[in-house]
Amino acid sequence: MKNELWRSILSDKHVMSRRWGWQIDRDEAGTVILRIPTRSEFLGNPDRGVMHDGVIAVLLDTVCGLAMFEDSTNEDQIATLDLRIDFLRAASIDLDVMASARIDRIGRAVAFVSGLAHQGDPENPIAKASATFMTLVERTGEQGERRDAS
Amino acid sequence: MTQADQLARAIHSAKRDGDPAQLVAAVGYWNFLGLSAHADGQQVTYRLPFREDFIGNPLGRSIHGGIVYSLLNSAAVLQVIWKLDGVVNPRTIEMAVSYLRKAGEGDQWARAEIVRAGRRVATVSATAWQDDPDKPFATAHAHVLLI
Repeated sequence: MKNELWRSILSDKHVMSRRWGWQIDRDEAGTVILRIPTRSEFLGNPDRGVMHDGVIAVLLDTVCGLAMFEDSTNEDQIATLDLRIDFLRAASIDLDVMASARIDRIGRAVAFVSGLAHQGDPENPIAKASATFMTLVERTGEQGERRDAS
Repeated sequence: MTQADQLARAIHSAKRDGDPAQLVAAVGYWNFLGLSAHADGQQVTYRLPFREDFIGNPLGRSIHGGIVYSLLNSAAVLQVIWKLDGVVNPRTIEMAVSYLRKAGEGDQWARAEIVRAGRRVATVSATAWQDDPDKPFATAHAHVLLI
């Protein structure tokens, strides 16, 4: 399921990927970095040159979901339960936005993921996300497959 | 007024005419999404007609969580501008969305309600549905900075 979903999202046929133009990359540690190139249609407040927070939400929801798909033990379908975003700084319409995510914990039924978005300077993030996902298929395994991110 | 007052001007004329569409038209991202707003007396309803590029999961055919977030955030901020006086630069401090049900292929609708408006911060709740307003697919809770 995971590979099929990855392939379909990365394929040319995924309309949303094409429309939004996001790019999936990896850093030296192999962590997925998602980038959304900026465009004028992403403008929030026209008087302040600020990118709309909804673009940040699309970025962070996607990257948190990708972190779930990346997890090698997570073969299940997932559904977002909750997504909270703190908007730390206004995002400039003149710059792309980038984000990465990490899994904090995968439990039997719920997974916790954190995401961080920036515009080129990870030390000064523009937004941070906390997402929870339901793993839709009941997890089985000899030890219940409880896992911590450490 | 100068070019830098685009949003302030749009707010002013939209409220004067009782026509939130003029306000929606002033924000690029709302146009990009195809968002529309309809005022029925005091109640404003926000609509996001379906588009294929809203489908996040191509296998499950569900609306992308970030699009749902965008709809609810837009409804919350629009409601703050619409109902409160003198708000020209609202900023979402934080917003949490709970995804209650799958949102599939189809239009999305939303309403927002100001729970409390202080001098600096408004607390807003918003709800989104597709076919039945009593069966929302998502709710949101936001704090919006007014100053």
